[in-house]
Amino acid sequence: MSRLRCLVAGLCLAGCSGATLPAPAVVSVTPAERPASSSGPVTVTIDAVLPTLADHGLSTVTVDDNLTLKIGPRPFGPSHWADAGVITDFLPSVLPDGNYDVTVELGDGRLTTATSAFRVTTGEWPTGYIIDMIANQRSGVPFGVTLRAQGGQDGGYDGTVYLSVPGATVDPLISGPFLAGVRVEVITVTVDHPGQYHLDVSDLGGRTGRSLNFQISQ
Amino acid sequence: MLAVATSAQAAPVVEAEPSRLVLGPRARAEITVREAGPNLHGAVSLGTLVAGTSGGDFTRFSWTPPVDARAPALVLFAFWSGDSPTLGDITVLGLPCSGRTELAIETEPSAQVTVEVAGARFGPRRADRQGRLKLPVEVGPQAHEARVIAELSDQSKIRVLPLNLPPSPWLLAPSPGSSVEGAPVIVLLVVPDTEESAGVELASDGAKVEQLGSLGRRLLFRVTPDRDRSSVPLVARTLDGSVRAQMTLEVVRPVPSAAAPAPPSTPPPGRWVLGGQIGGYVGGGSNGGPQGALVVGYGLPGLPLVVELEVGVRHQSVSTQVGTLGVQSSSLTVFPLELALRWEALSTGTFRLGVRGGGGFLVGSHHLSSTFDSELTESALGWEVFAALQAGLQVGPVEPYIEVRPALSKVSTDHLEARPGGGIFSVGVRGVLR
Repeated sequence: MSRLRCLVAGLCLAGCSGATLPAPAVVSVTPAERPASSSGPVTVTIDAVLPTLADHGLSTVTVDDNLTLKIGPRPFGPSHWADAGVITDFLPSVLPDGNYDVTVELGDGRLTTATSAFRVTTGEWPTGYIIDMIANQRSGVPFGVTLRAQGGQDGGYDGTVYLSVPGATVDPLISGPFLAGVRVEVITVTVDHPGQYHLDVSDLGGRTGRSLNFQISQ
Repeated sequence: MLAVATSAQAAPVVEAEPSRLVLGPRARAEITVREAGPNLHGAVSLGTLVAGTSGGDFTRFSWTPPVDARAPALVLFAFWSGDSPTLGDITVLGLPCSGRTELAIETEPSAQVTVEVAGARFGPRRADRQGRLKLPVEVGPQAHEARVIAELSDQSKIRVLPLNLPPSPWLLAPSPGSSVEGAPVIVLLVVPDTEESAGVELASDGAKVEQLGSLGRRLLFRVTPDRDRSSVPLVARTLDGSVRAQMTLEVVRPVPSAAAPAPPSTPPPGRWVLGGQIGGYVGGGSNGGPQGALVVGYGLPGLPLVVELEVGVRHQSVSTQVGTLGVQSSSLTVFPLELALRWEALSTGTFRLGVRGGGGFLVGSHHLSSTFDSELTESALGWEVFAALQAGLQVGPVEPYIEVRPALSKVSTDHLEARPGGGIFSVGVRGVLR
């Protein structure tokens, strides 16, 4: 019996060698709250021990820095650990009002969820959008467009809009932030067939805008 | 009856039991020496002094006179500690020994005769018709005359017979007992109180004799044998040339140890050994660093083998840039807990050569830290087997040594691969626990 106990103790000692790495932790989300109609940078601070293997014989240390960070359903930040876990990224106005979980997953599968760590309040949306006239363009060649939000919050709209060109593909699909209600966005439209096209913009509140037709050639 | 002698503060206290005796076949005395330091020496002017039992603070000597000794004598004892005593370090004790003899007396016919010797009375006994009488008396070493009192009716005649006693021998004792390669020797000379002849002289043919000091009838000399002498005669005498003591001082010359026959090796008894060692190790890459250990061993009785338990500590670390993330550091501290068997393979003079083998667990702590993520401390467990070669020198009670130890070791976790062994180099010291 005592021999068995010694064996169990020995196995436990061997098994206890090493440590199961702790789950990552979301230390803070800044800002923790934002109107649905606003966009801007959000900083998520993460505390984690990255999967690490130190080989003293080779004098090397290997670190798996893969990272998946989400605010609600939306991927956020880079796909690799950076800046000592202080992750800052631009969050467009694409989340309806509500509470959102912030989820962190490391390369070895360790995952943590900060429940309702980010809150989106009701936004104050523009009444509509005007797009300045667009000159004739070539497919696949970037060009600038000026978007103007009409009405809305004091100081002008500072959210983002979805971009689309019916019958063509456009990049990006979401604009950058408006500044005092105006956004100059560089977009690339790719078409299969030359012709007349127009640019549509819309926001989460359902307001839209449409440009005049412009010629896109190959 | 007890005789007690004390001297200066550093000198031992000496007691004799009995304090006086009569010489004869059964004569013997017991001398007890107390408050003596280490390396106690004893000397006597006559007879044989043998060390007997000793306890925590005393040593007991037994003294017997020469078998044929009958003449009264004041026997001198001297005791001191160490090989270079001063006069203040020496305790001298005198033991009066009386002689028993038959005094032949011629006096008046049929007289009643009584004899007085040094205050002691013997008789009365009646003389025969010719006035002859033999009366047994005891004569002490201080006696000079015998008073014969003859009584006849109402007459009384007193006659004084001078006693011509042989002088008591002087005490002559060297310290140490012999000269090593002609080195000077301290020689103590004690003259008994009964000595009547004038002057004291210590003479030697073949040595330089210098008097260092005197205290009453005690004298201390330095005797330096002449070069190449193997022995030196010493003679203590009075100024009129009467020899009172003599001896031969031997000059010993140590035989070179290389020529000495090797003493038969005796199997060592069981003993506990405690030691410690420090050094470093190199195991390739970043497997290297300082190390130290405490070693407790038990020497097997009758065998040149020591079973050892070793508890040590080793430390190593690596720090490196990881891509664009930053600097990652990994440090490992292990505590070897090992059993070993050491074979004391060679022991020549003070040189020792040993071979060790063993193995055990490496219990440790691994710490990860970086400039870009959180710290991690985890336990680590590994193993090690080793063989080692030790060379040392026995210096008094301790043995400094060096050790070279090839070791195969491994410590690994999900986050660590390390071999904190390889070549281990140590300097250490150990000693037998008493």
